[in-house]
Amino acid sequence: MDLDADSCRNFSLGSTSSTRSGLPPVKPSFKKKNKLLVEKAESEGSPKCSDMMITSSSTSSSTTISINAFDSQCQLPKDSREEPPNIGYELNVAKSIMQQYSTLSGDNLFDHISDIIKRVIDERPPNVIDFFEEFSRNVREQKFHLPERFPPQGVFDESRMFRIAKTILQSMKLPYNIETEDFGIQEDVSAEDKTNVDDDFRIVIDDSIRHFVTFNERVQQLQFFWNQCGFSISNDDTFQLACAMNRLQTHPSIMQCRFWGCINGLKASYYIVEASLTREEIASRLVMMEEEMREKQLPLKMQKNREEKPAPPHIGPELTPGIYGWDNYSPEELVHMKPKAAAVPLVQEMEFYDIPPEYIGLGCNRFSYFVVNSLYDDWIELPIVTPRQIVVSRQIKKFFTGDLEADVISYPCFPGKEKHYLRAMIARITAGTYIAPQGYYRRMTKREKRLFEGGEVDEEEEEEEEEDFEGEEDTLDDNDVMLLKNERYEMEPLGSLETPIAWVHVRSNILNQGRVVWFDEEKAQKEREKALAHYLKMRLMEEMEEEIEEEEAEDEEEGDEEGILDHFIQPETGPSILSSCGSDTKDEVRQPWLVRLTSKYTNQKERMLVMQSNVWPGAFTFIFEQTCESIYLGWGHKYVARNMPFKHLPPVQEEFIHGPEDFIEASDPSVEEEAAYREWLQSKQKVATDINEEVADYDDDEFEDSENDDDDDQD
Amino acid sequence: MNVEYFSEGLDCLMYCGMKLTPEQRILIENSLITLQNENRFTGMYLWGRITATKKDYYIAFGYTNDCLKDRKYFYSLDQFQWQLLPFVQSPTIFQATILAREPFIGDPSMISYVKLDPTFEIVANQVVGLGNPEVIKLKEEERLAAIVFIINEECAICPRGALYKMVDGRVIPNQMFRGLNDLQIDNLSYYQIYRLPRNDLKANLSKRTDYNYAIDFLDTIDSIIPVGQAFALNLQRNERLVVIKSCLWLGMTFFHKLNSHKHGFLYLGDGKKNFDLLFMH
Repeated sequence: MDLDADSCRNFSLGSTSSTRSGLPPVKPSFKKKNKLLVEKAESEGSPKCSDMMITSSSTSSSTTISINAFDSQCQLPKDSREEPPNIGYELNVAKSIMQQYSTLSGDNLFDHISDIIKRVIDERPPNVIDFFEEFSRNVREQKFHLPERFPPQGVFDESRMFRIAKTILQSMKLPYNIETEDFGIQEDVSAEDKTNVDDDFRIVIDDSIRHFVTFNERVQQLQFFWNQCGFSISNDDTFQLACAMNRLQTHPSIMQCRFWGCINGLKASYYIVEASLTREEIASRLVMMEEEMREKQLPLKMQKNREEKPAPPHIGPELTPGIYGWDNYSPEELVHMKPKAAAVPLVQEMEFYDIPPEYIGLGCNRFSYFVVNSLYDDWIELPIVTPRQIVVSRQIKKFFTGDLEADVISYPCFPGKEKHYLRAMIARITAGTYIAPQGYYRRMTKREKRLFEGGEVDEEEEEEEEEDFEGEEDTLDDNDVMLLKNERYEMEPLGSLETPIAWVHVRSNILNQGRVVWFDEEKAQKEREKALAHYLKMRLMEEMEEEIEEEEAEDEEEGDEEGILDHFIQPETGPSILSSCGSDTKDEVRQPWLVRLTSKYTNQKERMLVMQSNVWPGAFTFIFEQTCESIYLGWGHKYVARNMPFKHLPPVQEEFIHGPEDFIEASDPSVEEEAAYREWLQSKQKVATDINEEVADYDDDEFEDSENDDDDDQD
Repeated sequence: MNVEYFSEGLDCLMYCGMKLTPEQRILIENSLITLQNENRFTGMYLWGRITATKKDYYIAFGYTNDCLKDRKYFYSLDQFQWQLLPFVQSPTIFQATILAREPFIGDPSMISYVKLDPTFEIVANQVVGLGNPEVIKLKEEERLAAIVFIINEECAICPRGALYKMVDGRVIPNQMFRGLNDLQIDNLSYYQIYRLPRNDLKANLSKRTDYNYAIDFLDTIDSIIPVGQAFALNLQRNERLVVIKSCLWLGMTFFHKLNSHKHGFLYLGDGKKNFDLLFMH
């Protein structure tokens, strides 16, 4: 306001001076007549003006002072007005019109226009005439927002950024945050030291496992490559991501982690980190998981603490014998007649076994995934993925909302929440889009595998193995493996990599079943049946307290034979790990991979090669010298040529099919028929006098039913 | 996205995951400035990229007088030689573009054949006849022009107040625009579709109590069908940057910085409409 008041003052002073300076051109015309008159006019004009100024611009005190000074000079009578044309007088009239106050806002046009002119001259906006209305509105708007009118200590609105800025600072665990002064800081430092010590300690212990770190954990270094390749997360986020990943890496149960990518959501996007857990962590989780799985695979009847639910005694209205003209039969016959309609189905417990998920550390669940909506939050681990979730996720296409606990509303019904859906999509994308040039990764040797699984290796053996290392036969031909970086990989010229044939998949393919390793469902079914039979027999034995050992033995033998004979089911197979990307072609996607070089005009050694997946838009893999990394940045949708072939809803109530006999149609009785019926009823009542009293209570309409019931009762 | 703040805009749009490589950025920025001067455009914008299997198409547009009516579109395969995109009028071309299943190839002169949907004769709600599906010859250049037009009509966005209708009916960027404030920034009714309005002027004005003839003549995005599902709005960078993504054309991203006149949209995608949108929420 100070500035504005100043400007106002300047302006009004200027304006008075302009009246004065405006007069000289007029003067010559008056000069001839009378100089005094001109003097009069001038002085007369000024007092008028001063009056106006005193009343109007109360804000500018200096103006009034200066004008008062003027006032003392001119003491001419007011009625001695010059005859028109008198420019000074008319200017003042015009000005007074402009300075009329608005009764609504208390503002006046003169101030407003002077503000506008000042702003135009100060700021010099381009083409201001085209936007004059907008500009004028802006000026007026800002006038109301002057801090003098809204004192800052009165209202202070907390800025939106403040809350987030605070959480970001907190997430970085700055010492500044600790309010308990010296103690706190010292403690903090010591704690940090401790963790550092722990870190070193852990690394020493896990030295064997360090050998298996294949993930590139340096996000900021990768960010440089991503930038060069033309896809990336935001630069600001990268630093925060590095901080956030550091928090995860130092957690004792995590062996290695890398940035997996980003999936867009409607309200927020997910940042995803892929991590592999330490052996100890996996072992402890396995124990729990195995227990749970065993429980789930048990046949229903063997499950303990199962309550026998009593069958509901009665569902819906009781059925009456459903043949037209049934009332012609005598009550005795009716009793023995069965209703024609199908019985109302009761709820039955179905035995339903899901294909079991793969154990933690194997197959689809080899890696754990941690997600976060905003990088300053704590990482949340996603649950394990089950084959059923993968299978259903292939049939649906949903937007992620950004809320892990949101329901997935779909048909077929997705078994789980959004976090499960997210996990299933991550598994599918990873399996489909992680590629590397041929020879970049290698399988583990037997020795390494044993080491990886935590076995001890003798030094002698080690040496032997070292020699064996050259032999390719030693590598295991299994689909569900973790690959290691090939130390001897030499970068081929980019030209030879410009075709998908030179690339191989480096993550295991997920079968249609939803698992990496095929699960023989029929075999499991037979085992369950056998177990159930065994269990029932045992219970029988307990009850009978007899010994049937011989038979049991026979049974077992038979079972085995059966197993061998029936085991003809072909296990489902898919492309194996390290199979070429050249064979990815499907009907839907003609060209599964797009190959792009990042630049054309630079030195050949500075170029990178980007493989862009068409099957999963948003999945990229780049290679630059020894660095080959995959990332996913997208919506988490698989490519469809036009639209998704969603499964249709089944016809309504298909589980309970109605036949024609379920609906017996009859025409409404005419008046005569009703009369006849009543007569017949009365004749009947005469016969059966016992029930007469009861029947009389009912209305005519209910007669049929009650009559029937009564008949039954009677018999 | 305006060439005036090209790299800054690209940084803001990075929240969709994609951007341009440094080489592409340098080439496009400078060649667009050249293009603007050669054609004496008042404003020059990069529209986006349509991924094709061989070479990607880069699209740009500029205007001289009216930033809605006389936009001229250009495309480029090598990021520095820009060709004028043809103006498509035939409705069959648009129909075929919508129905085309194949991805773009990257050769403008390529001709593909698209089978249109069969036509039905309907009398009193009963299908009485079935016309043979027509096969349309579709040149990729025309398909590109049509798809750019459709995407632009359906999901190009600008904040309210960024475009200004002058007294003579011309629409130009509002140079007095100072950006949305933090009360308005997360409200979809403060964003407008960057196209000639399709709704009635009165209908658009009556949506607001504080309407302004020069600004509120455009359609707002909160009434785009499916209502509430067509766009996803996110706040980024300490909630100082709004990013709106179209759910109908995945790849269309819009940004606007709080309290600044900087805003823009960019399409980086494969030119496929998301027909499954209604099943995906």
